[in-house]
Amino acid sequence: MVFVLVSFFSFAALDQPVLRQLYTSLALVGTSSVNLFHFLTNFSEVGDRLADVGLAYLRSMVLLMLSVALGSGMGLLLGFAAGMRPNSPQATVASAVSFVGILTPSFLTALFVMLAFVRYISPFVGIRFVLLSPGVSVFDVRRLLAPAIVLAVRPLAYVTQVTISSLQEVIYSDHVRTAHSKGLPPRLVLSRHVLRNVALPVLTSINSSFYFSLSSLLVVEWLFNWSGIGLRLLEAVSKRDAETASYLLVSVGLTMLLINTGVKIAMRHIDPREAASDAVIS
Amino acid sequence: MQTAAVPDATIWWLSQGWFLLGGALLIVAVSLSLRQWGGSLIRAYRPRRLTFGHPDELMPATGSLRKLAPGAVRILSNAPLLAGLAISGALLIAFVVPQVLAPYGPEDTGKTLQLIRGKITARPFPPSPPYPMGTDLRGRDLLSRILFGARKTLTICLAVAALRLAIGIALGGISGWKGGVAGQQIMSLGTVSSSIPSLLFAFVFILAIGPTHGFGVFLLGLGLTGWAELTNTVNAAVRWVKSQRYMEGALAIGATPSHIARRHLLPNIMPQLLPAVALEISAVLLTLGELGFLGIFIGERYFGNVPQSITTAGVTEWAGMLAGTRLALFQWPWLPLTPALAFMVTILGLNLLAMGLRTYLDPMQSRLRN
Repeated sequence: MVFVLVSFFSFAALDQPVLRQLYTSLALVGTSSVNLFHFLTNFSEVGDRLADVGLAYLRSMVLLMLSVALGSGMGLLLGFAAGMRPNSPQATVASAVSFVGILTPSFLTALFVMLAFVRYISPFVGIRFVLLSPGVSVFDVRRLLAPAIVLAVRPLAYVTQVTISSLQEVIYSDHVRTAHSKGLPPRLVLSRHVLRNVALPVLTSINSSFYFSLSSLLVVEWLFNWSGIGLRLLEAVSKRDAETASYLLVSVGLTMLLINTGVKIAMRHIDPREAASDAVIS
Repeated sequence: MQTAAVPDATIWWLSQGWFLLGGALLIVAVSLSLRQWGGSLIRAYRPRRLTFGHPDELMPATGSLRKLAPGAVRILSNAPLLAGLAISGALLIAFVVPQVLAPYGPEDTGKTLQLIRGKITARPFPPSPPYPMGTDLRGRDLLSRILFGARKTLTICLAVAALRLAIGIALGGISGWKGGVAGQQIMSLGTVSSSIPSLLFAFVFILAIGPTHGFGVFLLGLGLTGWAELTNTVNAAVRWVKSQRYMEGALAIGATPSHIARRHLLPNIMPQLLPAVALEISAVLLTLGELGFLGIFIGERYFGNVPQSITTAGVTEWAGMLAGTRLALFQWPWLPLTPALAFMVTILGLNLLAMGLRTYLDPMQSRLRN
């Protein structure tokens, strides 16, 4: 019985840590959907092309989502850590570093990251990271991590800077001072008065981060030989393949539209003033 | 004391061979001195203005320099402006007289084998005291090539930025002044333009026409994109000026359009325009670097096989130095890193300059000063 249970758990990967289980399941769903898409569209020339674009789109989206999530999450943490005391040295240092981070060209970051992975990180952790080979699956962390880090740098810097400046504005505002003076516990001041006001600019900055990452995508994908939208677009333009280029551009445009709409809806939920202003405009 | 220390430090640094920093500080020192002399002259002949409070109340610190030269104090207390001026000053020197800063000529090749850090080394030589940023495969010093390449690179950037400024100011001015349907259409055009990443537009445009057509293709490919933000800025500034009472007065007394533009519009949009110029040059530089990495550049081919470029022998240019160096990173990391760092430092310097100028030219600050 024990043997059967262990075999079952091992087969279903239930003996793995939760995060690994989650990641493996997501990777399985992603790969299966790509294969299904490929199978369904593999009956004509247009279908082939669409399948190709779909695959490139999936690769880029995995990279984009991971980098923006990584950058925004870290940016929020850093921003809050530094920005809760806006005039402290750590806030000044974080602002200066994030300023440099926003301005650093992605090709320079990519060069540093590639060098760091090959020379220092790989020998240190004992994992052979795959930086350029296109034969490895997009869900393989050894292939995904380096380009995701490069794309995450600018969102991280931008979200950090916006969080610090928003906190600076909100923390010294009249209503927060009033809340403190009437004896509200700091935890409640933070959750009721500070976080709600900071959420809006931070959400807008995450939206802008997508645009940042998307504009760097071409160079980063080319540098890491990542066969996503950016690299395929460069190849399509070089080969003057207008059809593939237009499919790719439409997919990018639709994605931006979706993200913008999602952020707009979230903003309306967070801040009633947004909904009111939309109502006035319409 | 502070103003005296700057030239002293410059001379010391120059004597130590820290060319870039020394040259930059020299520029800062000259600009500070000029500003101080000019400020003293103006104050000597300018009647005293009425202020709402005593100047000392507005600027409570009572240092002797603050009293003698408030302009210099405003520059010295503006760290981004100082850093931006230092980097831009070094670039200006490299632009005008690169041979003053460069330790070698751009085409000078060293011996095939050299003793570097106690080892006999073949080309390309790594960063070491004789070659601070290393050399390329032909043994040419990269620092010298960066300094000599600044002229060509910055000329392209300045030309493209001028085109973007011309488009941005013209469209922003027309849409802000005329308003109505035409104004809305212009702003919509700007929104469309800003939704296309500059790199993608430039890449498609240059490849569609052909990079071998030369400088004009690069000028149009990079200049016809990236102007939308400037249009928005100018549009907002012009609309604000137009809504002011003094503008009504000027129109009522029959001021000509050129008079209005010269006397009312330009002085009001200048504080936003000057930082925008620095930001535009920096944005163009970024796109130029990215294009260089992708193999599209003007100038001499530097490394590897780059089929899409035009290769102009003897023209050193930063983007050309980047092209084809991706795989060289693992063997000779200084080959891509040196030009990439040159891009980074310049972009940072120009952005700092823009930030400092914005603080310096801020109307609120100016009011406080007067």
